[in-house]
Amino acid sequence: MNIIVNDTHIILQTDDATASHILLTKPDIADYSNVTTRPLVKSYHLIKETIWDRFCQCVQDTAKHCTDDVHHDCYAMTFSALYPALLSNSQAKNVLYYGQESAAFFLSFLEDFMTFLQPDSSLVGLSPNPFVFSGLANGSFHAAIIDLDAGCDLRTICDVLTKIRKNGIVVLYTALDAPAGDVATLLSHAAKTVFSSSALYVLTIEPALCDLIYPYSSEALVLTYTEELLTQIAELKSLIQNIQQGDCQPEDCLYAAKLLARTEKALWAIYDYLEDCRLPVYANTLKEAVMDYYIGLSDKTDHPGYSDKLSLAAQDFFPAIETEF
Amino acid sequence: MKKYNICVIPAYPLENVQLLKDRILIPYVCYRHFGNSLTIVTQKKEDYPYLTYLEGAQLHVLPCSESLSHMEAAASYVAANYTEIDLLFLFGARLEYTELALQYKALRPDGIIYLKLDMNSGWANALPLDHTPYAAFLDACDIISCEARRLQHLICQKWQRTIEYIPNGLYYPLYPSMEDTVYENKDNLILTVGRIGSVQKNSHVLLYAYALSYLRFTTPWDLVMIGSVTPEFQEIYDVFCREFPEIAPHVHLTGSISDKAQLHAYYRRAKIFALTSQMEGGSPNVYAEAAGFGCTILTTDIDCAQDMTDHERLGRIVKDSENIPAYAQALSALCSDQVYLEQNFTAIREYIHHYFDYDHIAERLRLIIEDAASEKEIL
Repeated sequence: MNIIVNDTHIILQTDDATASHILLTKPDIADYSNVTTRPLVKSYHLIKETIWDRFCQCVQDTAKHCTDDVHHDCYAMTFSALYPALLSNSQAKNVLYYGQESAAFFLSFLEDFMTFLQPDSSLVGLSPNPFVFSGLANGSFHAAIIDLDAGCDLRTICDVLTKIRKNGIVVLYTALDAPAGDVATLLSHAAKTVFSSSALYVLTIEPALCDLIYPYSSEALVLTYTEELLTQIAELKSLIQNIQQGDCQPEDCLYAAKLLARTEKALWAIYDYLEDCRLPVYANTLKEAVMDYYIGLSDKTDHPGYSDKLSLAAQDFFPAIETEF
Repeated sequence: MKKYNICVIPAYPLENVQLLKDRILIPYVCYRHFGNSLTIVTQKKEDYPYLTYLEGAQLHVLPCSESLSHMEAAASYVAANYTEIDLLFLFGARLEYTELALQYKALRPDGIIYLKLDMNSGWANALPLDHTPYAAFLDACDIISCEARRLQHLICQKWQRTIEYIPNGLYYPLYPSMEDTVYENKDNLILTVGRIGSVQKNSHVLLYAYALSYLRFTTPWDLVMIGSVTPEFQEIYDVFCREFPEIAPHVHLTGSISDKAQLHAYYRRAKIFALTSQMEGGSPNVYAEAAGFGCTILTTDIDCAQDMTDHERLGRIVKDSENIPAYAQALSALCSDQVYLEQNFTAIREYIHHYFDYDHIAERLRLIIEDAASEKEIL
């Protein structure tokens, strides 16, 4: 990949020069020395370096330091995609990055450009763990960058999107095969740019998109699971009470064990959001106690220890669930 | 009820004594309850006379050579026989299993892999969970169990998935003399069984704690240590005999006892079973045996100590495995409390019968396996 800079353009070109892509055209605005649409920024005058110059430098530095990185084209295109958003007004910008550690050089040059524009701007790099979003307020970032090759599923992407302000943008890139399934459906709403084997998608956060993605976000998922969970648990509580009172058939125990297995799975699905991380194990222990009780009923070794164990496990599980939800 | 073709593949060539331990006994009892067949697949390490205890089990000896390792041969076996394996039983969260498990999963997506961890908390903290193939191996396992509640909590939080609690227990048909054991026939005998002198077993703690307790005994007690003895421990024992010539005749090193009837005779006589281990993989198989014969348990605080003693209702736990005076204190207190030992004889046998009986455990595993299988059908 080569970066070609001339007086009016920054161009991305393949090594064999068979393909090229205009990353940026220099804005033609008389009032700002033919530099940019951006309002006056103090640092621009102080260091006597134009935004155009700094931008070119950062893109070139990224290219130089990331030659062996499979995503080098993506980085250059991301600079280009973010440029209008970063210069849209004089506010400091918060940008989120979700991807791989190998992007460190790219991030450092992007941050350099952002803080050149506004010293208070910040770039937050998150490690690829879907849970990291739970600690971030919704709508708190101006833009996000997502490395699709870092193993993102639809929920992760939707979680990122919920963190972006109205009219903010989300840039997603990949140097591998085009995403398939649900992610591909979401990306059909994005503006797509392809260069060489890399693809860049840009989504703008609009109300229609927000409505579309919310059901797939962790927040919605947790709410859905919680609703289902509470229904299941109400049923379970009544079943377990019947079992404890001896008012049950063996099949009731089996059904309770199945419900508990389902409850356990639901708890694992929202594990990162639980305050009491012992809940799934409590569910498992109660399931085990119900199974023991059932086996005791079946083989006629109906030992009082099994119902004691059931009571103890229920005493751990139900109050903990009530406290949690 | 579905009948499963069960296959057990140990990570390393099987030893004869292991045939009657959890790694084989659990799948064997599962086979007795809901199995169509049980095949034990291993490189032959020695003769397997204990196989006669496992009626119906088949042994498949792998054709290993210098160029074909146990695990490579096992992978070939799976490739050739996967249609006949409905339930693959693996033992130990070992990296060696990675290829085998993924291969089976690819060939038999409807098959069930059950991994019994045989792990302690130290090991759980050292696993390469960020190693992608290893993580894929764990993901491929439909059911994972561990042997101690403490471990279950730890591993669940680390792995964020369901871990079943399946303790090491007893298969009663192998203990014909267990049922008619009576407390009145027991002697003032403290028993330990294991690899005497291995670092893990910490046997010197028991030896010297016994010597300290000896001074406090109001009635005489003997210590019997059964198992192969390391040269290092033999030296310790020789020094001990010279240091304490009066106590030495009361300490008996029997060596390894392979005759089960003879071993069980010691359990029948013992009132106290002593464990001084620093750690155990899973829970010691000897615990359930001793408890089944009505021995009160004195143990160090290994992962399964709370489960073994039902939170010290049925035995005592010494927190620090290196604290000889504390262990001696607990031992002498137990020896002087004949009422507790007698009451505990019945209580611990009941406890073990209800929660550590492999027949009961196999039934629970059947429910868990059926649940995993029905989930696959839904998917």
